[in-house]
Amino acid sequence: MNTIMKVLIVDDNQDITGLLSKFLKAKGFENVVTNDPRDGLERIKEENYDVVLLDISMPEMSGIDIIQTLEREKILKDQKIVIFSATAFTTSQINDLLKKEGIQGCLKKPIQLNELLTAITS
Amino acid sequence: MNLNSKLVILFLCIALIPIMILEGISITEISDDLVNQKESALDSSLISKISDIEHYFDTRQTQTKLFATTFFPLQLDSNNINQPQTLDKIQIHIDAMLVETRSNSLDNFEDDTSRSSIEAIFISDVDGNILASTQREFIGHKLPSDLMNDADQSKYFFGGLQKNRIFSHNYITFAEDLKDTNGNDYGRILLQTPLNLIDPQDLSKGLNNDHEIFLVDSVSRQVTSDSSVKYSTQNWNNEYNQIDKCFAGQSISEQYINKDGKEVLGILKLLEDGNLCIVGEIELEKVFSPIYDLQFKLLSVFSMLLVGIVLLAIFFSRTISSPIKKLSTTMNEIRKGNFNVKLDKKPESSNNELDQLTNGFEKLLHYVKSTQDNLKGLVKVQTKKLEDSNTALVENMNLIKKQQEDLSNFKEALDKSANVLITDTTGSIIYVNDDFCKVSKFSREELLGQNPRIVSSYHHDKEFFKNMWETISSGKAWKGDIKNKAKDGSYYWSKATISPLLGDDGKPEQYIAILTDITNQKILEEKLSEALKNVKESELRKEEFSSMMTHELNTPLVPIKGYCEMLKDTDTFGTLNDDQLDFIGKIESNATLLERLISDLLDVQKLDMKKMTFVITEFSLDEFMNELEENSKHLMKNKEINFTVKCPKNLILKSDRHRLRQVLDNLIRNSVDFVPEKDGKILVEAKIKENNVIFSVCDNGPGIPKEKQSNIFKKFYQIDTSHTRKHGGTGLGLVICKGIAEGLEGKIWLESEFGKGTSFFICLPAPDKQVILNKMA
Repeated sequence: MNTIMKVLIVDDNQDITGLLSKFLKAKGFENVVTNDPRDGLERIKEENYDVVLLDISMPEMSGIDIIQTLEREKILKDQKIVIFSATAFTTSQINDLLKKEGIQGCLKKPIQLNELLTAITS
Repeated sequence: MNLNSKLVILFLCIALIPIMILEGISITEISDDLVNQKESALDSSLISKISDIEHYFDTRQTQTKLFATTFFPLQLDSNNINQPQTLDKIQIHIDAMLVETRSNSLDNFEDDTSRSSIEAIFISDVDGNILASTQREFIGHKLPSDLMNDADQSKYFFGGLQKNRIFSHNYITFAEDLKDTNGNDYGRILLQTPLNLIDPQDLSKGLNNDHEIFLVDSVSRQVTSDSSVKYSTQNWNNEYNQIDKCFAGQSISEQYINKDGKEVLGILKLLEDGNLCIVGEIELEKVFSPIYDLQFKLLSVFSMLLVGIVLLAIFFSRTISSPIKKLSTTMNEIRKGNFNVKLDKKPESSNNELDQLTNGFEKLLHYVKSTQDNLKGLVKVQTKKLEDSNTALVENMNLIKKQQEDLSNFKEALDKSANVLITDTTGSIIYVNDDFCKVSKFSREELLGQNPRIVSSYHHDKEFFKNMWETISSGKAWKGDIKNKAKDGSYYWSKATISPLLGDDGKPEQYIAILTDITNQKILEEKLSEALKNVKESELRKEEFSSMMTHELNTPLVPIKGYCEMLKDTDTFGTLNDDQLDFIGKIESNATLLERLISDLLDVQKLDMKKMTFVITEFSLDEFMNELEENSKHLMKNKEINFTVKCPKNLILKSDRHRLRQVLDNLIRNSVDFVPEKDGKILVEAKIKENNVIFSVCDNGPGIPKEKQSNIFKKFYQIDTSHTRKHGGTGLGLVICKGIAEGLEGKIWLESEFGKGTSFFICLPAPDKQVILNKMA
């Protein structure tokens, strides 16, 4: 990989964003962190990221709301979004999300960091 | 009213009305004439009386003047009049005068001379002191003031001097002044005559005795007495308005009620000098007495006429009505069925319409008689036929009776077992049984004629009843549960069947409602439904709780596990010594266990609540098995295990991939834990058997004793508690496996022999639902 990948991390939990930010930086990724889902949505719209790591359960605005907004504005398919969910694969809702173009994959919390790496780079 | 009475009344009206009118008119005319006649007679008699009276007064006044002149020879004047010798002369003179008048023809103008004499003569001085009198006892007295007034004019006065009474109305006194040779007054002469000179008999002379004439002075004193109180004067305190009017100058001739309370025709006239009024009165009763006589006579004639007319009328009406009555009686007899009555036959040639009618009726009767005889023959034949059909009818009746009894029994059974209500087509109640009254708490009288709405609870909407009416009015039966309200306001539920009773035309004639009380059942249902609602609510809360727990419990595990992983990644984040790495490993494995525990607990809860959801997708079986093999290898790092995975190629499976994986992971993890450290063997296999896919996980672990196999799928059950620590499971794995297998409509079981290993089998049946056995090209 010649160019450095740029990753956006959207999660309301600062410990998680802190962990991911440190891990990705150590692994050589440029990353931007936000704990505010609205700010995250604005950033996705304004800038191009190689990967967006998006938490589903967030207060005020959930990951699903963000995906739906992007879809409405017809820019979802330009994204590469990896979602985190505490109940991965068990709901039809998540399954429906995974069928959409622009959704890269889903990681179940707690996340295995090496799985995350695989998901980003694939 | 019968014809008789009507005819009599008609006759009376025709005969009597004109006579009565005629009589009324003639009586009025006669009485008017009579009154006029009497009035003019009285008037003329009054006029003659007035002239008589005035003439009498003039004569007396002239006599008094004459007497005054006889005193000139005595040569009296105001100076010598009081001289005793002069008084003697005067006394002698007047005594002589009185004697002379009584023998003189001067008084002969009255027929009866005994009542026409002068009774007394008085001489007074100018001051009114009586100086001389033919009645000695008055000498020295003073004249009453009345007699002093107007002395200059020769006048008469009502009143005079009388023994014991200075002033009396029983006299008329004529006065004249005495003058000396020089013409000066020196005294007065007074002539007193009694009132009987104008006696009522004199006044009434020449008239019939039906009337009365009397004189009244200006203060309403009757100057002459009437016949009952002779020679007395009376004062009736202006009872007569007529007298006042007369003195005011009017001539009165009218009818009024007189002082005796009798209705009279009165004429009042004022005498020429204005001091006296003459009154003539005729009693009307006396005037009309000839008319009363006439009326009495007429009445007698009327009565006789009346009797005559009534008799005549009765005779005529009898002539007309008796044949008619006879006809009517005959008709009544015929109506009763007696055709043998006989009518008096009238001569055919009679011109009388009634006779003709009777004859015509007689002919008709004869005709009816013959017709009836013909009919009798016919009836006999028909009666025979009728009797035959009657016999058949009786048989039918018996049959119907039996059916009615059956029906009545049925009705009784219905009445006893249900609440019954019947309405007509307008919806008003025409029948209710005792049970209905009992349940509704209304009396039968209160319900009959009412609309069943009287027990409505307003629990059901309009659509409910609209539907009911549409059903039953179209001739179909309606069934449903109805909530009703009893009289005391309590509610009760009835299971109702409402059927229309159809008439011959197929339209409903009545509606019968058969109701069973299901109030208790409804109460139970309501309670149950409420309980269910509560359960649902609590389940919902549980679900919310598990969703929250999943998120909240898993979130802190992310940094724990993440940092452990980063610390272990010595290439990237720097080296740690072996102890440190060991500690990190222990933190991480415990965190992983915690993660599984959380996940398992939630799954068990979902299974308990039957809320486990399955996402069915199609996937390639061998891909799925390869993935399983790859991902399971890291579990076996610490043991020497011969791990084999077998599966048929080119098969598409339709199932919940992740749940199936969860089951197999769990079974493999269990096997890994239980196989020996060395020479461990684990075989995972997928097989097609009939229409099922059977997965199996076999190991060469210690096996499960037979007696414990039945407990293995129970919660928190582990064979050997001492093994727990080594095994590190949650005790929930197999429970979840069983739940998932059954959720996918399959089953799970095990085969094990103690000391020889264990095999778990999962069978997912019915390829149409879950499995597609599709040999790919």
